[in-house]
Amino acid sequence: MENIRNFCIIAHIDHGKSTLADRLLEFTGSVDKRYMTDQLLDDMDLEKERGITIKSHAIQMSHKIDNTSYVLNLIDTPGHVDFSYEVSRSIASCEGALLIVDASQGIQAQTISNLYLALEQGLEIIPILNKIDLPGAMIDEVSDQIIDLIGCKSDDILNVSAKEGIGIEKVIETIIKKIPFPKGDHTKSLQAMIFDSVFNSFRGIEVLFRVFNGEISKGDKVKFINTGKEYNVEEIGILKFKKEPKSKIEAGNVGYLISGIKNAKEVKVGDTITHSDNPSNLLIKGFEDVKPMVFAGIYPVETSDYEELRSSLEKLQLNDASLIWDPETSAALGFGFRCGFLGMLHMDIIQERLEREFNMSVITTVPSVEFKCTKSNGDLLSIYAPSEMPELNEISYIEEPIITAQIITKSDYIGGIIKLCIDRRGIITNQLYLSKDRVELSFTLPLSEIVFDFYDKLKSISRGYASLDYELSGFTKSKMVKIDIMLNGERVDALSSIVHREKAYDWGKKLCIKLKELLPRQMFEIAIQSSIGTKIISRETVRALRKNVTAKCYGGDITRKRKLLEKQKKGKKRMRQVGNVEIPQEAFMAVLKIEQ
Amino acid sequence: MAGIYIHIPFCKQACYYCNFHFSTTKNYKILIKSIQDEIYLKKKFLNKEKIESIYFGGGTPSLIKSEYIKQIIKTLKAHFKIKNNCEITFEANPDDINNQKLKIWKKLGINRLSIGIQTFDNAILKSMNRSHNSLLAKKALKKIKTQFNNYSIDLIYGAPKSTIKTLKKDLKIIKDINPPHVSIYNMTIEKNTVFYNLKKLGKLKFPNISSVLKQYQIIHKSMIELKYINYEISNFSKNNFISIHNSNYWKSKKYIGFGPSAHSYDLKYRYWNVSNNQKYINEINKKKLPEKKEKLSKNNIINEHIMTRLRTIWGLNLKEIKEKFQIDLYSIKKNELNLFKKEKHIEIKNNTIILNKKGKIISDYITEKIML
Ligand SMILES: Nc1nc2c(ncn2[C@@H]2O[C@H](COP(=O)(O)OP(=O)(O)OP(=O)(O)O)[C@@H](O)[C@H]2O)c(=O)[nH]1
Ligand SMILES: C[S@@+](CC[C@H](N)C(=O)[O-])C[C@H]1O[C@@H](n2cnc3c(N)ncnc32)[C@H](O)[C@@H]1O
Ligand SMILES: [Mg+2]
Repeated sequence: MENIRNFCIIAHIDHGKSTLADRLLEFTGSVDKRYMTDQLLDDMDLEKERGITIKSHAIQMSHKIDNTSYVLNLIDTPGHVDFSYEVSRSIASCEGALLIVDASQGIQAQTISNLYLALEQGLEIIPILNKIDLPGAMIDEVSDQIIDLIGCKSDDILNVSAKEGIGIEKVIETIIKKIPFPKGDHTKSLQAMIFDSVFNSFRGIEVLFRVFNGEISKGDKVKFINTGKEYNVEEIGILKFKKEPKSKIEAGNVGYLISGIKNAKEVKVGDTITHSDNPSNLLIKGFEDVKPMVFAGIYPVETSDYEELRSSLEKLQLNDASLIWDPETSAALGFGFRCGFLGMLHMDIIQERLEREFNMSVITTVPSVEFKCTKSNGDLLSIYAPSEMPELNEISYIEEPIITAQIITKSDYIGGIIKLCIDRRGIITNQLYLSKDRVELSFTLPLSEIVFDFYDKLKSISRGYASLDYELSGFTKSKMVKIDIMLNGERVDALSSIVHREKAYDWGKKLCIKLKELLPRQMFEIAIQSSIGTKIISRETVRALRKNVTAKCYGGDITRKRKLLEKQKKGKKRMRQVGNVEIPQEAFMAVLKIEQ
Repeated sequence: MAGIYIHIPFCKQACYYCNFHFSTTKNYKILIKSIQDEIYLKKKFLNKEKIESIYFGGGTPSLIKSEYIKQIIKTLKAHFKIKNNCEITFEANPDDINNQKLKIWKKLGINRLSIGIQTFDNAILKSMNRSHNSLLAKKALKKIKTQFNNYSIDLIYGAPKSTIKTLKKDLKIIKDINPPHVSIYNMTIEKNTVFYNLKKLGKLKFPNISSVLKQYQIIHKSMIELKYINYEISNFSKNNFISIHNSNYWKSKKYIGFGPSAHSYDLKYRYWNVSNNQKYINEINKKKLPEKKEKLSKNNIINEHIMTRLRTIWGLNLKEIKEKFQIDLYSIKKNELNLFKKEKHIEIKNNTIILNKKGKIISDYITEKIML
């Protein structure tokens, strides 16, 4: 156990975590050169394409110093704010963290929030200044920022270029020297914590765990304390680049377990594994509950694919424990699921994964946050979808979720950012100069005002020089109303949205205009109306299709024209017929495209 | 039965709306030689099937010497079985027409002319960069009438500068000339044309959609009054003067094309030649076919069937679909069909779907809905 080091890499988005992981893997010879690629651990196509880490990735390395071999268990974490939950899971199974700061960017919002997560768990922090190769690297300035932030000495900071492979040996040495080895007792009864799970279509579910006490062997009968389910350990092993089966894993180490689990719901990340015979009844604490921030309906394009969508969501949930969902029915869209996401990026990713990995064509509805409604009769109701909002006369009051936000920016942009936050019904609570020209602004803001387009706005106001971190802080009473959309007089429940009363009129109007842009001309004229309760607030009209004909269709035109029509037809597969109106998928997301 | 298409890829000048393949160079001789070689290379393509139509299109076939046309026809006759009363159409521009040429064409066996008039309005002709004017067109047509009883006039409506007035003028002249066949095309803005670029720059004013629709209504009404049959979206003919060659495209018959950019179809594959004269010549010189091909899936074939049949007066016969493809299109598309019927876009009679006047103007929309 003295020779094991468990650590994670944490940082603000894009500061170079996965690239540093590449160098560590290379340096320790953990991956055959043939397999080496940039950001190797980002193994999902989506991660590679977007150049971001979505999921934590665990891998085991070995390294020898002074004739002693060390086992280094590394977890690369995502930096995007949507995935701070992933970071907290990884942190709970480590004793140390490499905190990376991009030398050209300095400390950003997630640098701070992830650092605090790690400190809360008592992790040893190794500060690393990365990208020192960049011409824009501000080595002294950012070092000072780091010293201010964590109170370390300037020698404690390792200067690194993950891209150029500078300073890597020092990183390894420091990990071994500074990070405490895991404490645990392998003679005690088994306590292992599930920190991740991966779905493997051939072998069922692979459970990733960290053993805190005791040991786990192949053939053992184990029990997951939370679910109470018992399994035979068919295979266990360590998480080398290629999984390596072992006969046992001891306290302090990290491994995987296969036991033919097919049902996603049986594996709860954060659950504790123990032996059936000599059980420990102690749960290991360490995982926060997942808090979805955004809710949206996901419906199959083909109504007959409902069951398939359900099983796809179940499988997705396996390696994405933060995804939650419940069946839901919409008058317009039929049977589907109300899903909870960590944020808009997460929602986007889930939708794309459903498509790529499960071949599902889906329609996603207007995203919303959770509102709480107290009805006139005293009943309390959680509202996850606009359609769940009671009629106006049944409502006593509504509460909406509030966040505290930290924005780090250059002082030049303070004015613009404060204006943006006030437009979004925010209140500034603190203004702290981190250095002469860098400021941390704190706000309380309604969640519903920031989840959709706030971040893009913030980036454009600050020309990219602003980062945002936020945390749910509670609920507060608000005058929220539901805006309904009617197409040719028929209310389309999936197009409703909940907004603040003061913004409702403007919102309804813009929504109608946006829908007018998004609805293709059809055989009939389409009247688009927005309303609050029974009161119509605006109206737009999509004129009927008047002309759509190809003049010439001779020998050379036939293929081209057929292909064109087939392509258009395919594009329209994502349309839903409501009454006699066809609604394309984008229209259900119209709300997101409204300029505030 | 099958058809032959010959593409003559030369024009005097570029019309501002046209994106057909052509060149304004004059290396006629070598290209015609290549076409003859291509005919030889593809002589087995139709497997001795009889040819019932030949179509010289372009480009501008009337631009080149009749001697070249003669050679092509000779080569065709040597390698294909051509039906006795085969329809042989020849596209000609008004400025190429004189009595002597007409006589020669007739002697070569050409029995149908298609004349690119577009409009009789000089301002519009000029704005399209046509090389003839209204007077020349009228004179040419007078000459044609004395030698050919079967000929067709191409018109375009909805062009920039066109109005209800210019259209009515064109239709009045049609009434006077009383041609046996007229093709009236809605102006289409094709990529890689002058009009396309001007439109993108906002430098070209088009009649608004209401005016275009009105033009369409007027064309329909007048042509029916003048006793023309609207046998395909853009084609009008007097009795017995329906174009056999073009109709066969809409009846999914085989066709074989020669010359740059020409397409061929053998019920399974669609082939198309390279749209570049020099590349075409080079390949043929190497005894290679300068073509690409694509196999049509069953669905592709059904969709083409639906698409082409719906354009015609003969319509889409549901029984034929069932026999040919073993699918019950009516039950698959019941909702769509009933809606179109209710809205009077289509009629279903004797198991056949036919577009109404109202449906013809949105035929692409209807086709897309009925396609698989
Ligand atoms: N110049 C330079 N670029 C670097 C360095 N390290 C990383 N990068 C680049 O920075 C970008 C982000 O690197 P990643 O390793 O994906 O960053 P990350 O922190 O894992 O990002 P997320 O996982 O999305 O939070 C990539 O384009 C890297 O090539 C470095 O030391 N120098
Ligand atoms: C390809 S042209 C060749 C015939 C001849 N060279 C001529 O210019 O008249 C055949 C016919 O297609 C029609 N046409 C070509 N381009 C068109 C377009 N963009 N829109 C509508 N009709 C078009 C014209 O009516 C033209 O007469
Ligand atoms: Mg990463």
